[in-house]
Amino acid sequence: MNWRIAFILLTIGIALALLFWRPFATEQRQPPELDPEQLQPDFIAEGLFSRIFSADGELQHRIDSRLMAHYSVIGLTELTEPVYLTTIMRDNQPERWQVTANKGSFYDDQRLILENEVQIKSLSENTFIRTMETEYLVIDTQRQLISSNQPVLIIGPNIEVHGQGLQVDLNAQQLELTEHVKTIYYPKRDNQ
Amino acid sequence: NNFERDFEQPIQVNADYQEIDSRANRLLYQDNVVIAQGSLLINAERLEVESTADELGDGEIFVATGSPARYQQDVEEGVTVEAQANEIRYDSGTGILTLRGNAELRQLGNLVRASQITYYVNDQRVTAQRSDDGEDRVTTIFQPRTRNQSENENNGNP
Repeated sequence: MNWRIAFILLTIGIALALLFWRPFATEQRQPPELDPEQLQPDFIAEGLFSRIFSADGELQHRIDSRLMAHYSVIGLTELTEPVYLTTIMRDNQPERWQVTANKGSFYDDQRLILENEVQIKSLSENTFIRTMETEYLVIDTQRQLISSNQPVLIIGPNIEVHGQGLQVDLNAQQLELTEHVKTIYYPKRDNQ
Repeated sequence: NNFERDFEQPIQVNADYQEIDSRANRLLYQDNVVIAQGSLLINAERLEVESTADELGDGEIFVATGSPARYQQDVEEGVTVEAQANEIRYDSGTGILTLRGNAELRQLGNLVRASQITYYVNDQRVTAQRSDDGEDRVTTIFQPRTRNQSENENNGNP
């Protein structure tokens, strides 16, 4: 009689084990986060990256980078020590600006995001602003719009501006600081 | 006097918002605008700064507006000039202050009230004009110095 009980117990035991083990369960596995770190770049290259000419053949902007890695799956190119050069017209004179940083990311939508020791420098004489420094910058290379939500230091020949919330329209030569802190005008005599 | 010292100091502008139009060499500041240069202090709601020369710092014209915009500066130790107007225009190159619209200038209890007052800060000269429509007059009130007040001033405390 007891082998029958034993048999029943055994079947129940196996059923229970199966219940907990559930080898055949299919968890809803999350689609793997596309993390660039894991992704392999399609290619790694050095030197010139992109040049865009305006309608009348003028070099409008150019991006160089010591090293770049392109991830076509997510439409991203990671740049090491990128240099962004752009030319704008001011009273129909070309005015060249250069932006450098330690790190950059260039996206398919033509946005260039620069990080860490970002410096914008005017390469032309007597411009109102000589340099701008920040830790983070977004450049819309198509519409020549520059913005940053990090603190910015703007230096001109006799002026120093501290603030945050930078918005620059390069073509219109308009710059805006939505959270301006202070501006200092140094009399010329001091730094003759 | 105190002015030379002030005019050699950097000019600091604090404000909540700033806009730079580098094509027109013009800067615009808005909200809680404070201009400080040595003992000179201007409080306003809005400030436009135009550089007269193409090199910044060669001389700027500060046009501060408010309801009213206020100015104060120490002429000498313990002697402060105060002024207010709808518009205070300060040319840092020439040191000329122009007050427009309900302008008032006070120094040592003397009060000048007019539609426009021009204050030649370097040589301490004031001219006042009434408005063209001739409605309001120029009012100048000289506070008679009481005997002890002028004695106090001679030995330095107002």
